[in-house]
Formats: sequence, structure tokens, C-alpha cells
Amino acid sequence: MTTQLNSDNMNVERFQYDNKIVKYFMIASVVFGVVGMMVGLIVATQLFIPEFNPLGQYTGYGRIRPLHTNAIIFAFVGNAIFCGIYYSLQRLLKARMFSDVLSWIHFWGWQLIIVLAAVTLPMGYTTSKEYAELEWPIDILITLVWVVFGINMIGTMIKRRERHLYVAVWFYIATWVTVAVLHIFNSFELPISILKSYSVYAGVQDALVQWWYGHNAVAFFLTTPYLGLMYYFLPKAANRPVYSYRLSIVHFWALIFIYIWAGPHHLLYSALPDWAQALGVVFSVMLIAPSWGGMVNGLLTLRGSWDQVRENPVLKFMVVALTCYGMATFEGPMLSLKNVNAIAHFTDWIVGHVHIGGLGWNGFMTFGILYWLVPRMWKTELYSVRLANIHFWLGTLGIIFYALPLYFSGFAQGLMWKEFTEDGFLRYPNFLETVTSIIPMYITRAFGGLLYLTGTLVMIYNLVKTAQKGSFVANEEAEAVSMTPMGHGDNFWHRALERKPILLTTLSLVVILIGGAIEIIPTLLVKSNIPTIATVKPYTPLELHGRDLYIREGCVGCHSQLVRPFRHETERYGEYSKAGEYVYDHPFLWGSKRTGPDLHRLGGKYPDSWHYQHMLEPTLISPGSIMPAYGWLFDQNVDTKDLKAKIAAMRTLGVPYAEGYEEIAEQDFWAQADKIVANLKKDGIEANKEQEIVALIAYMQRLGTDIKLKEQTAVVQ
Amino acid sequence: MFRNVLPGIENVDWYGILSLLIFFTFFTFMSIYVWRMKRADIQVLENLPLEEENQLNNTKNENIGK
Repeated sequence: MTTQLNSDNMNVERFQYDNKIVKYFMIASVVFGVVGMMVGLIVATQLFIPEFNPLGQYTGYGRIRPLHTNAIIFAFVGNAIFCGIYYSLQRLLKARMFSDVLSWIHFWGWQLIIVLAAVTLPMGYTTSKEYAELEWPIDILITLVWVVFGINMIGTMIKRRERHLYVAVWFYIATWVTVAVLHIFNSFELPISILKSYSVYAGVQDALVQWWYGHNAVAFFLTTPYLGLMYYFLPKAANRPVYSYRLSIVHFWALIFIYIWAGPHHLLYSALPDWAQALGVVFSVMLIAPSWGGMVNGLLTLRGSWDQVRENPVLKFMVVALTCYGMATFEGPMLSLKNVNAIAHFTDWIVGHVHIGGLGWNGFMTFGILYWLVPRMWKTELYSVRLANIHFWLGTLGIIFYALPLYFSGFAQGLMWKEFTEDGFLRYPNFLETVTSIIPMYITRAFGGLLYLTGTLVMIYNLVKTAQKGSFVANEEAEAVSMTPMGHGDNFWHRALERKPILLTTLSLVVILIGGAIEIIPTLLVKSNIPTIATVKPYTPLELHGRDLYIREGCVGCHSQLVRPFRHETERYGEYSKAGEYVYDHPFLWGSKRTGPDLHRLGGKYPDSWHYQHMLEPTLISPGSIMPAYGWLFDQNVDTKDLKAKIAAMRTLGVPYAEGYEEIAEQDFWAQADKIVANLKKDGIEANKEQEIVALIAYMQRLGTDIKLKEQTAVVQ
Repeated sequence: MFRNVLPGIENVDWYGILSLLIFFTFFTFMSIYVWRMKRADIQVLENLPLEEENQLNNTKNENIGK
């Protein structure tokens, strides 16, 4: 594919850029983007019309909310990242991708992962860890495909014809290294069966590792690759270099250095050790500097040529994207301050915040890049600038209609939870009251989502029309001077630069590992981080099964299991949560959003019959509730074939089940189920011990009762 | 919590000092490096994305780093 021309001293090589792979990633991004947004619209609608559940359990809110987040993050944004990287990397390095075979393995492997996610998540196969819900075989596949991408990218850097690695390439390298480390460490899980596993970490440790991952998934999947793309495509679109290249270097190192430490701000006021929470807050506040450095660098690139922004839809999208990036990265540190977090955490404010990032930063930057790329790759002009402008306004209004209501509802609900009467009672003791008051906001938010999706469909029409009038060049001809042989006396520099991609990769790795190591290793190693509580015992086999059903249904998407040490929370829910209560929780189920109330002290609060009726028809027990009905838990029977494996796996992970207990676990399982059935019968309910609901009731009645046991013992003494 | 947890880590008193040192050294060297970069080099680097994709364009880079 490469031919050489010798002219004078220069070794000119002819080669071709691979545009076909770029086109495929682009199509995948757009198609899955529409799917992900539609699923988002469905879950948004379910919040005010809970009966809107076309395929029963397979479209239940708890199951498809992770489908929405995964589709948007890994399918829409993921494919857009690869599309942008495969286009810009080849041109910045003046080389075709290292291997076409690897490019296509990467492409089809990634799409396979997405399809597997789209099948397994609605079926209820989930680890329940946010943005890492996929089960272990898919985790392994992700690792393999990510390695293929890495080899292909670094291979291209090694065979490049441009001696210098532009700053965008640094961002790509940091993305690859960090996502690899995060994915591997957060995915340590012990398989029980082909699609079920338990996290090797428990409770507080699991929470810390998960949010170290979760936060950095935002940092290194939604931010650093997009900053790389911004540093390439914004100068291209504006036809002028970036405002300050010096600033971009500082931006890069400061960002990757600081970002990795900020994860614990997701766990403020939780049972996580205070020193880890404090570290998370300090580094989150420091993050403003590099984040705004990047935003300012992008916006100032357009200094003196804002007239272009008025004319050029590509720049319009990019300017709004950068503004949203600035807003989200200012808001993030503010939300991590403990006094703000005390109001905002568990509310819709956080959902609004992430959507400023998702819809504004990732979405609009992607649209800007696509409007720039398609005319170039199809060698033509954009079909309609007018339609692109319509898309711009639909999208911008969509973001406003989406985010503003959620800010309002988050703030309002957070304050309602906290409000006391003059006599010292909760003003809104019924959680449901705080939910029904924000339903109009949910309706407006869904309308915002609809506007945004409509804009995206307008873009697809415009881009398809553009492609139709042009002609696609799959392999674009190019030529560049080979890097070797170099002039005399520069061997040292040459060698040093040759090694640069590897050096940069290693340096990035070291930089991100420092933060991770200082935060996580002490929490994992020091026993005193988790004071043990003598009354905390492992789950019974039936409770364990019930817990797995709780995980399968995605209950964690709406219910936290973490009572924070605030008076209004202990008043509403009971004793605040202690680290020692979670020591047998593989995985942890603290949750990050309270669409419904916290459940950590649910055990023993209501009779079994209450739970039975409530799960069957929530609105009968709580009129106006937006919780969906879980009819299938009454039709489906429990399956105990994995019970032995589950008990054995838990023991391997350190849960103190007696040796050989798995052999008799099933007797205990049915004995406890019989008791619940008998309890239900007393209240006039004829249940069958094999119904899944029985196991779920067992788990819910257990929640948080270990501490209550301690209190009872203390009173007796 | 600080009082309970941190003494459990061996040589923990070095952690804070070490983090500060790493930060300080790293950012000082980076700032000096960035500050001392030559204007001409910067111009070449910042123009990398703008070079026409299929032209002979390496020639002007030859002098960087010398």
C-alpha cells in the first residue's frame, strides 16, 4: 500500500488514509445514539407514567435505565470517540492505521459488546455497579477489544511519519491507559455461572473502587478523548491554531493528574472514611483550574473571529459544547462541597448535571465533528445549513428544557427532605409527597429529551442527504516524508522522540496510578477502616437469593441503602448507616439516586403482607406512587440451582459461612420461605413458597436489622 | 477518623510530604519546560492539525529540537 518516491534527499512515501473505518464508527455512533436517546425518553416517561412498560419486565425502569446509560456512554459516545480518533490520528501522524485487520476487529468487537449489553441488561443480567453493569464474560471481551484498540493506536504512533505528537494524541494515550486500568480493577468479580458474578470487594471498599471507576469513567471516557478531539477538530473547523499550545500542555498534565483523585466526592457523608472523603473534595475543587484552562483555550481559539461562529454551524455546536463543559466542570466541584452535596446528593440535580455534560459537551461536540467530517469524507458541501441551524436550536432548547426542571426539582426536593416544622417534626414525613410535587418537572424534562432527539433525527436526514450528493473516498491518497533517515547529529533526539509514545503512555500511567494508589490501597488494606459489628451476620440463603433479585430488577436505580448522618435522615429512616454493616455486601448497593425512599432500615418496618401488596400494585398501598408494579415476581418461581455455587463463592470472598454449609443451605432456604408464606396466610394472602416475591420479601425484611438486633440486645441487658 | 485510621498505615507521616513533593516537583518542572519552549517550535506544533493532509509537509519540522 505504501510506495516510495525518492526526490533529492527526501524519502517521500505515498500511502492512503483509511476513511472506511471512520465511516463505520460514525454510522454506529449515530444509530446507537438514536437508540440510546429513545431508551432515555422511555425511562423519562416512566417517571410520570409508570404503567408505560411495553414489554413487561424487559422494559422495566430498573432494567432499562442502565441500558440507556450504557448505550449513550459506550455506544453513542464510544463509537464517536473511535470515529474521531481514527480520522485525526492518521492525519496527525501522517500514517494509515497500524493494521486494517485490527481496526475491523476493534469495530466489530465493540459492536458485539453493545449488542450483548442490549440483550443482557433488559434480561436482568447486571452487576449493578453503575456504568459497569455488564457481566463478566462481556467484561473480558471489553478488555480484549480495548487491547486491540491500544495495539492499533500505539502501532500507528510507532510507524508514523510525523516526529511530533500533537497534544490531541496525548489525550488519546491517557484515555487508553486509564480506561484499561479502571476497567480491570473495577471488574474483579467471582463468576457463579455464565452470566452471574459477585464483586470481590465488599461494602465500603466496593463503593470506593466503584466510584473511583465511575468518576473516572466520566473523566477518561467522556472528557479526555473529547478534549483530544476538541484540540484537533476545533482548530480545523476555525482554520486557525489553538489559542495557546503551552496552555494545552499544562491542561493535559494537570487534568490527568488531578482527575483521578476526585472519585470519593460521590460518597460524601457515607460510611467511607473521612480522610478519603476529604481528599475527594480537595481534588475536586482543584479540578476547576485545568478544566477551565481547557475550556478557555478552546473558546479563545475563536478570538477575533466570532463572526465565523454566526455563519458556521460546526463552530456553533462546538462553542455550546465548550460552554456546557465549562458549566459542568464548575458545577461538579461546587456539588462536591459538603454543604452543597448535603442538599444535592440523591436528587435530580445530579441527573441534570450529568446531562449538561452528556447532551451539551459530548452530544454537541459529536454533532459539530459530524457536520465537519461528512462533507469532507464525501467530498461535497453540507446539504443544508438551514437544517443544521434548526438542529442547533432544537438541541439547545432540548438541553435547557431538560436541565432546568431537574435543577429545580433537585433543589426543591432536597430542601423538602430537610424541612422541619417549628415543633421539630419533619414537614414532609411522607416521602411520596416530595415526589408528587416534582412530577411536572419530570414531564418538562421528557419534553426536553424529545426536542433533543428530534434535532438528532434532523441531523441524520441532513447528513444522509449530504452523503448522497457526494462520493465517498474509502482510501484517501496522501504522501509525506518518511521520518528516517534523519540529519546528522540528531540521533539522540531522534531516538528520544521515537520512544515518545511509549514514554508518554508510561508517564500517563504513573501519573494516574499515584492518585488511585494513595486513595484505594489504604482503604483496602487497613482493617480499622471498617470497624466490625458483632451482630452483623451473613445473609441467609433465601435473603441472598432475594438480594440477587433486587440486583436483577435494578432497584438500586431508585432506592439508596445509605442513611446519612443527618437529623432529617435519621428521623425519616432510622439509625444512620455504619461501614461495618456492609461487610458481607458483594456488591454494595448504596445507590446514587432516591426516586423512592432509602431502604437501609426497611427491615421489620412493615409486615410481609405490606410488601406483597406493594410490589404487586404500589398505588394500592401508596396512592400516587410512581413505582412500577412487579407482577412477574409473582408469576416466576425461584431457581435454586446456583445456590451452592453462590454460598461457596461468598465463602471464598470471606463471608463466614461454615464449611459445607452449601450442602444444607437449600433446607434453610425453603424453611424460611415457609415462614414467610405462613405470615402472609395470617393476613389472608395465599402465596406459594416458590414465588420470587417470597425471596425478595425475605431480603427486604432483613435490611438494616442487624443494628436493630444490637439495640434490642442492649435494652435486654 | 484521621486519628483512628492514619496511624494504622506504616510511615504514614511521609504520605502528605511525599504527595506535596510529587506535586511540586512535577508541576515546577512542567511549568519551566513549557515556559522555556521556543516560540518557533510552538508554532510548528500548534499548526500540526492545520497542515494540508496530502502535501509534503515534514520539511519545515526538520529543525525542531536542534
